[in-house]
This record gives sequence, structure tokens and C-alpha cells, in this order.
Amino acid sequence: MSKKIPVTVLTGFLGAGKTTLLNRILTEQHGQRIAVIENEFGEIGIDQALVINADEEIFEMNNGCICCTVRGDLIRILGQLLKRRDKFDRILVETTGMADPGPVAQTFFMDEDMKAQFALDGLVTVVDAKHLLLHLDDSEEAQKQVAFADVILLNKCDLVSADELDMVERRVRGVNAMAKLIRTTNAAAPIDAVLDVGGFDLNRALTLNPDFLAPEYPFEWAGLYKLDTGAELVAGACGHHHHGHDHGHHEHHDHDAHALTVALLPVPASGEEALNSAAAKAVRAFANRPEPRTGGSTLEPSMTPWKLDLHGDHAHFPIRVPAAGHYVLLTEHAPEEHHLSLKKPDGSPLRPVLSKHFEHSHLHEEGVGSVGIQLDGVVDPSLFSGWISAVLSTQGNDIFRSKGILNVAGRDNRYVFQGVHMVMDGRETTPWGTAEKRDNTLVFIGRNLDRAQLTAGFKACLRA
Amino acid sequence: MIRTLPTAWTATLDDYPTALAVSRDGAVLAAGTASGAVFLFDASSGDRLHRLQAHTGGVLALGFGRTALASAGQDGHARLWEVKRGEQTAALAGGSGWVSHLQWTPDGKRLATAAGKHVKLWDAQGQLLRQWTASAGINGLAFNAVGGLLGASAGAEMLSWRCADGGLDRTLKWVSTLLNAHWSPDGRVLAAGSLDKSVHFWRVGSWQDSKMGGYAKKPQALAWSADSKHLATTGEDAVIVWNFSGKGPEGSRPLMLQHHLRAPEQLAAHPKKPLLLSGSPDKTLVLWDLKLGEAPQASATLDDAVTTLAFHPALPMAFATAASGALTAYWIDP
Repeated sequence: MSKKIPVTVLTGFLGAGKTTLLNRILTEQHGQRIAVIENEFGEIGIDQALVINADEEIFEMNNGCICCTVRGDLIRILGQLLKRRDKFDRILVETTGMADPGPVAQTFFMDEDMKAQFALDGLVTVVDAKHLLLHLDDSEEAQKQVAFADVILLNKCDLVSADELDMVERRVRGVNAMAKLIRTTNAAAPIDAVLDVGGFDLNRALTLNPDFLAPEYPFEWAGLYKLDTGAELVAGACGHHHHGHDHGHHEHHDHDAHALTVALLPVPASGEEALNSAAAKAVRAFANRPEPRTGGSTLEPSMTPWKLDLHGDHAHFPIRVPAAGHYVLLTEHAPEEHHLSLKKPDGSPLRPVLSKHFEHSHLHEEGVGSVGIQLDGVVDPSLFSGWISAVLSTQGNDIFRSKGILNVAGRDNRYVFQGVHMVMDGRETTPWGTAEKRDNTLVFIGRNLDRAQLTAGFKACLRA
Repeated sequence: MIRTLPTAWTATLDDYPTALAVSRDGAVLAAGTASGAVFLFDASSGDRLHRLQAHTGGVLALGFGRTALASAGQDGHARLWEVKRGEQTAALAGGSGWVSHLQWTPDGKRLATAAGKHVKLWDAQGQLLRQWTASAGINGLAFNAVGGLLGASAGAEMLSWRCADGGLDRTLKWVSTLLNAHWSPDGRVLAAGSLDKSVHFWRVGSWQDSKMGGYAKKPQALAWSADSKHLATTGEDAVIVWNFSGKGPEGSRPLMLQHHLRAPEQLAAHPKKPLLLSGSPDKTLVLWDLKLGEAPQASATLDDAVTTLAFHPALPMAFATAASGALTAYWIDP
């Protein structure tokens, strides 16, 4: 049996830069002959011998089950390409902007013929840094394309400010903690970062953003301020944030753009420790029902958060503190999203001494997010196998991708598994190093994920 | 050891062979390849008559009508050919993308093509008679015995159109995508392989349906015996043959034709006799006599995976192609 043909799947919304990337891949001298399967609206600007048009077509294995759908057009086209396999080295599948990556990925795991001949190398998603937040809020397809990706090109970075870019990147990370993120302009990514990704290669290490192993917080940002007597909180649609470029007015669809929940807590000192203790305390504060506040009303430190009414161009809220000292302001969304800032009584800007971004749990409650689990211990293989099959068979519709590296009882090799929806593949790979710390890392990317439940479930698979 | 089929003649094609067809009178054998070429041979002698540059991109299907040869390809067209001179007489625009399927009516007077969701009915001169658009891509076409109904599998539905007035005769639903469409030669049963690893069929008239499950893989190839008594199917290491005579296959054990080392993917039924050919990626082809049961009658080994098979309608000959481009004609009589 000859070597399996690698397949790269390229997704992304119309206008994100997908075709630019494709043209780059095709023109660059990388010595690989690539057969391209493009969607019906594709516009490859290169005279390429092997470009085939696909017609996004879903094949159902079983009535109505999303986990059991594959792409019939791909099966047909790839089947025909096998007849010309001496003419190319790899395949690139460009999907339409509205395509669900699930059936595309499943095609390479569920259809025996495809599985025998092709190896899915990776899903590459191109996103437009300027419009991604809007798409993530409005479109299930955009969420899935980010969630499924092994590599995300954060493209058109030249069109947004550094602050906005950080915010977009955090949001992307919130959805997919596993993907490699590359900031680009004109989709100029190194070819080897896009091809030969090894996203579905069980031997490839699992890299997780450490932030995603942290618990969830009901707020996205905390800033530690030194307040003497008072200050003023200013927030609103366009506020006093100066942009060097045209700025849209409808970027924040996931929540009420005219309301923001915040809390202010006193801390005994400055420093990271103080900020973290305030954050821990604020988790309890945010559990209380927020008090509505309209512009002009005064804010004082309290364990009850406020829901600020941000109607109008910008709203001003005087802050009064009982004593000069350090205070931590916690905001439901990142301050950039509401152009929120603090001002001194004389009107000059008041900057935080220290600030930190937190992963907001709303991503996980309503939308698509990642749950990372990292635990020491030894896995009982039969308990794990029972648990993971139960998780995937009951929640496989909502779990888009899963991957894990486990320390299994009595084995000197890593056990690696990976799944797309309900389909899972797992085996022993390389041995643990002698000095290496053996632990377990798992990541689930999907919709409505319950971190506590998944963590508890996995914990129960560990030997006492 | 079973008998080895003796070779009648051989030829070499320019690329991976994708389609094979024998004219109704048995005079001409046509073979299409992934390069887009169609080769015409004198079926009995193996003399090459023409090489037609039929399509840009590959040839996807071939079929002989009463006089003309039809080819379908990746260039979005089906084409009609005058065989003697090797000239194209008509180019038929399929509708969108590859023209994946073509099927002549049993009398060879009309032709149906399918490209994506578009199905078109043409006369033998290439005049468009009817066209339909299905809700999903077409995976197979089949005319019933008298050519009055055209069956087309579209997603999880089998559609049946009336050729006379273009109306939709009925929609037969199944829960999983159907992979092909095969009307029994007597017109009584419409069968299709399904992605859920089963073979599904409907009995014409009552339209009662049945599912024959238990396959290891999807039944991609189906072939009816000329007498409509047997339906041969792939999807297992053995060829699975359901017996439709008597009470029918429901509840019965199928014939399991075991000989290939790897699951066969190609099937061809003799147009008149109860003979069957199966071909496998393991490079072997096997001749079976359904009258005689599960014993293989003869076999041959090619130089590469078997890609297409066909019987000669009159002479005791069969034809096979291998992925290497080799075309071989065999004598099949003992």
C-alpha cells in the first residue's frame, strides 16, 4: 500500500483572504504538486492543471445526524483523483465561506475508501481580523471554522490597531485553545506553517495555551488602579478612543452593546497577588444580581456589581472611594470593546497600575469554546475508554474536536487520542522520557461544554 | 486451482481506464481513460479503430445506443460519436460540472445524463427532450424496462420521473444517501446501494421497500442478472448475490461468492446469460455462473487493480482493464 495522500482543508469567510492564501501556496516554489478542489465561487488566478470545482454536497450516513455526515462531492472527486495520483503530491480543499468543516473532516475518518487513501493533514482557517468578532457573534459557520482549525491565520492585521488585534486574538483563543495562531497581512504566512501541519497526526504534540487550563471567570478584564479621592468612568459607543481608521458601529453583537456589568473592589496593596485575590473575590461578587446604573450615578466599591447603561455616545459615571488606596475594577467585557476608560477629576486619563485579561465564561455557556484539562496521575484505561465513548456519543454533536495525551497505567508510551465529533482514533505513541513529568492533557473544543463536568469525569478515570 | 481465462487479445491505453462499453451488435469495444481519451477497438480482433480525444479532463462514463456511442466527462459535456468514422456528432451540455452518469433507454433511442443535480433527457441525435433538477446531487440513473420511467438517486431519495410528460412519478425515501440506481431488466425492482452499508430496493407497483443489511462496506457496485433473478453487490470480501426468484431475498441467505483476496469493487453481468464477472484491487477477476452457485468458474490476474469489466453480448468473450492502462480480452467458454 502506497503512502496516504495528505489533504489540507482551507476554510474562511468570503473576503477573509482565503483565495489570496491559496494563490500564494500555488505560486510559491515549494516543490510540491498540489491538486486543488475549490468551491464553486473560487477564483484561482493561476493557470493550474489540476483545479477541480466542487459542489458542497452532504451525504448522510444516518438520517439527520450531523456526526454522520460526509461530503459526497469530495468522495466523488477524490475517488477520481486517485486515478491520477502520479500527477500530484498533495490535495488542497478550499471550502465555501459558509461551509461546515465537520462533514469535510469526517469524510476522511468515516468513509473507508477515503480513510485508506488519504490523510487529513490539517484544517487551516483564514479570518479577517477586522470583521471576525462580528462573524463570530452572528454566524455558527464562523464559530465552527475557528473551532475546527489546526491553524488560524489572523489576516488583515494592518487594518486594525494593536489593541483590537489583541482582543480579537483573545476571542479566537477563547473559541479554540489548540490551534496555532499566525498574524498575517495579505495572507503572507510561511508555507510550512500551512502545509504539513500534522493536525490529525497522533504523534504531534498537543500544544495548549496555558490560559485555557485556568478556571473560568465571569469577567474578561481586571485593572488595578491607585485612586486618591475619586475618578470618573467613561464608556460608550465611540467614547474618546481615537482610531486611526474607519470604525464600524456594530461590532459587539454577542451582548447588549448598551450595557456592561462592572464591579469595583478594594485591595490592600498593589501587585499581581492583590489583583488575583480581587479576581477570586469578584467571582463571588459577580454571582450577585447587578444593580442597574444610568449615566451620572455614582459608583462606590461594593460586592454588588453594577449594570451600566451605556446609551448615548458616551456615559460618565463618577467613582467615589471611602479612602485613598488601591482598587480593582472588573469588567464583564474587555474595556476596549466599550471604549471604557477612567479619568482623573481634572479630566486627564487614569491608567491602571496593572491589568489582566480573563477568559469570560459566556463563550462557553452560549457559544463555542475550549476546555483544557491538565492533571497529574495515572489513567485507568478501561475507565477512560468507557468515559470518553460516553462523552463523545452523548455530546459528540456539540464537541467538534477533541485531543488528549495520557499517562496510562502500566504503559511507558504516551497514549494519544483525537476525535472529530463522535469519530475517535487513539493509540500508543512515543515513550515518556525518563526525567519527564508524566501527566495528562486533554482539550475539547465545541459548543455548550461544561468544564466542571468534563474535568470531574476525567478525574474519575484516574487511579487512586 | 480454478481455470485461468485464456487471453484473446491485449491493448494498452494511455492512462487509467475509467469506462468500458461494448456496442449492441458486439462489433465495437470502447474504452475511456482519465486523460479524456476514448479508444475504439474491433471487439473480436482487438484492432484499434480510432482514438477519440473525447474530453478535457477524464472520461466518466460510456454507453452505446442503437447506433451512436455516448461519452460523458469532466469537461461538463456528454458527447455523441459516429463510431465508424470516429466523429463527434453532438456535444450535450450537462448542466453544471462533471457529467458523472449517462444511461441509454433499453431500446437505445434516448439518453439520460446527470451532472450534479441536473438530469437531462436527449434523443439519439442530441436534441434535449426534458430536464429536471433534483434537490441533491445525482449518484445513479436507471431506466425501467420499457424506458418510460427514469430512476435517479438524489441524496437519500430515489426519484422516478415519467419520460412521456416529464412529471415526477414518485419519490422513494430512505434515511441514508443512495449511491447508485439499478432497475431490474424485467422492470419489477428498483435497487440501490446505500451509504449506511445496506442495499435498498423497492418493488414496482406496491412500492414496498426492503433493506438488505450486514455489509462491511458501502455497496458501491450492483449488477442485475439478465433474467432479473439475481442482484449481485459489492461491499464485502465476497460478492453478495441476492435471489429475487420465488418469495424474494427477504429473510434468505444470499450467495456469497468467495475467491478474491481483497473486496471486489467492479461487477459486470452478462446481457443474456446468468454469468457474472467480479474484479478486485487485488488484480484478479473471477467469472461466476449464478446457475451453478457459489463456485468460481475461472479467473485471470491482471498487472494492476481491475478498474472496469464488460461482457461481449454474442461472442464468448469478456473484457477487463487494469489501473496500469492494460486492456485484455478473454475467452470465457471452457
